[in-house]
Amino acid sequence: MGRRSAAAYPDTRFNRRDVLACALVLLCAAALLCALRMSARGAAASVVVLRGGTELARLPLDEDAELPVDGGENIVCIEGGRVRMLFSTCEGQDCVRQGSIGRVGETIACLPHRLTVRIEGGGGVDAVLK
Amino acid sequence: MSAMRTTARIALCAVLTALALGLSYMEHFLPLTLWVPLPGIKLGLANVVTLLTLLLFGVTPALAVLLARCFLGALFAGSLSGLLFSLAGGLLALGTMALVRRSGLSVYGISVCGAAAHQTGQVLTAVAVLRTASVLYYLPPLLLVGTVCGLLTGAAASGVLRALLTDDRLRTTVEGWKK
Repeated sequence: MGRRSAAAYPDTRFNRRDVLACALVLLCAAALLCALRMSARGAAASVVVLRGGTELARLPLDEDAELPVDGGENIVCIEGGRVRMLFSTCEGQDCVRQGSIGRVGETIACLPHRLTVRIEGGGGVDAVLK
Repeated sequence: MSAMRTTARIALCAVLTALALGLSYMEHFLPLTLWVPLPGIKLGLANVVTLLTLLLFGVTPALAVLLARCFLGALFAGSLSGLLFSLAGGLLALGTMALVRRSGLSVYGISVCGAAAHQTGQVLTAVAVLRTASVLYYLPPLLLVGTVCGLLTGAAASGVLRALLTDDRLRTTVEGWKK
């Protein structure tokens, strides 16, 4: 029984095409990042808190504030032109660990609470979002 | 004869499902989110089982193992919202890996493609659940980390595959299950 009788199994060693595949994935990531950055131009102006698409609150980015959402299940903190999730009762704590954001279009998501905190530009039109 | 083969196949899928569940449970002890502040980042060890099942036994057993793993995993974790994410990511990853498995990529490349598809599926699910396209901002860094994780799990899968294929007795046994 010849071991190489048929190419029934893929190579088990890293080959040249793998480099291409990795490069393609990273290129897609870079292209997406550029597209997102370009579609969200303008100076960061306001912080929008959403639950499942409905707007819960909209605050100016240049005024420090602490905003409890849902009686304190999440606390959104604006400080020095940056936003972070100060506190969350969710299990994963990914939103708290993410740290602060400050660019237009950047988002903090708390999946268990279906909450997103997004920074919008001053123009009022955000192409990333309908 | 054929009833025995069916039984053997069910038993094989059950063992592979158990392996996948064990591996995804083990990942809890390796919290990558502590180093990389991105939601849902993990090594994706369960994908090693999906990939090997796909390569050794074909799409149908891989799909069976994947579905059983997702449903049982959600049952053990007790969260239904997680099921949606693992199904979307897992199915997209399996579909992609099935498509590229004969494209000349090695196990590493197939694994990277699967990881990228998994991340994309999860982010698209998040877009649907949160109804906010801005969650797409998570995708570029997730793809970057996913490529590294895909290479690591690809190394694991290719090591197992090589060990199975170079040992003649093991290889005959494994290929006997396929028939």
